Amino acid sequence: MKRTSFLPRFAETVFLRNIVLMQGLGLCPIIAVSTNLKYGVALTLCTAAVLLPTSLVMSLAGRHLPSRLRPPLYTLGATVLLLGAGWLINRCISHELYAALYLYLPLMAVNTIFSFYAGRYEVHGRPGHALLDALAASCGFGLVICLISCLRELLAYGTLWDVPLSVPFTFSQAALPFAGFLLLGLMGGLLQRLTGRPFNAAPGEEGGAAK
Amino acid sequence: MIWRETLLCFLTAALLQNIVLSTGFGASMLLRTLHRSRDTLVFSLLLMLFAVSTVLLAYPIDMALGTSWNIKLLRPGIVVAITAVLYGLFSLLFRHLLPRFYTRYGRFFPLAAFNNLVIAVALIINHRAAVTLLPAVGIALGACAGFLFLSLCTRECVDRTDHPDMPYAFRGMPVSLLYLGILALGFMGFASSYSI
Repeated sequence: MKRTSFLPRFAETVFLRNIVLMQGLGLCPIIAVSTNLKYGVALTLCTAAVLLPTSLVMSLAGRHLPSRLRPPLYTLGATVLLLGAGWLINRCISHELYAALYLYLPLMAVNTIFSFYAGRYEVHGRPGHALLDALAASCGFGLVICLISCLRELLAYGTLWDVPLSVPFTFSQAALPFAGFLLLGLMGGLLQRLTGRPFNAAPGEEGGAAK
Repeated sequence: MIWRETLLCFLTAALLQNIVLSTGFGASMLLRTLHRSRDTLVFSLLLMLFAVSTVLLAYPIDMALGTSWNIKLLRPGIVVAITAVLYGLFSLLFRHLLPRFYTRYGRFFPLAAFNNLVIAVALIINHRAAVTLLPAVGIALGACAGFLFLSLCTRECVDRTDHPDMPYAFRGMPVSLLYLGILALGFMGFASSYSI
């Protein structure tokens, strides 16, 4: 891969082809859990920790695996990685953080990000490209979930990273799922306006589809 | 009595506390299967098949394992492993018994089996709901019926907003998400009636 193509390709995947706002992937954790910046950062790190190795492995070995075995294999692989991440968070970082993410952390393994993103490297894609795209997709996901987490935490609790700020008013309902849907819709509209590109969810582009 | 509780669980998961709107489970797939009505219907039926069979298999295993922290760490892995086995089994069955259906809709099998909604329902049942097997099946069926209901509503919204007067920035996914947000706000009014 040419060095010069790194930054434009990375920026395009993070912004113009944003995995959440332009492709509609990984919406569930953003709607349900993005109520605190800590949760947003934890889920971003977990996404990167799983998406990078699964994309790399699928780009290297995917074509040698029978098509029907690929989806269960990378889902089970992602689950094992996320269970490890959960164990680390529980033992080494914070039990409260693990308890808050308990339901959503393992569910990241069956998130559409992995089934669409890791799955698309199973037949084609060079390892370098797969790694770069996976890193950019994780950053794109992180950008959106952290931004929405900041907004919802500020609006709902008047804090940021659990630090109280002098906010003139709070709106506790901002922590409810409807606020996640609305904020995502508004951010999607803003990005669509800025880029001039429509949402892309053409049927049949799913990765990991059985043949 | 048990049937009443099952029906209540079904209605709660489908409407009163719609699982997609109250948790976001399955929201991405909902937006991606809107293009064709038949795709939406087939995907929802496959979702129902996998959700119910996963609950039926996971429930007794879950009950036998208990609720210690170490087991709680492993439970998601067990549920995913059960779903992987079911995916293999149903793929084989459909490929041999309904080859035309499988050729046409085979691409939906992994997306329905390894879906947030399927795994989450199996996890929620023991984690939050503490119900018996039949109401647990009611929750699984209700969650998928709620998914189908929302898909049909959102498709109608997409059709109606596909209009020159709609600002370009909001066409497609943004307007669907805003619509789901307003719908979630409306459904929140029912949430206190009965809670899973």
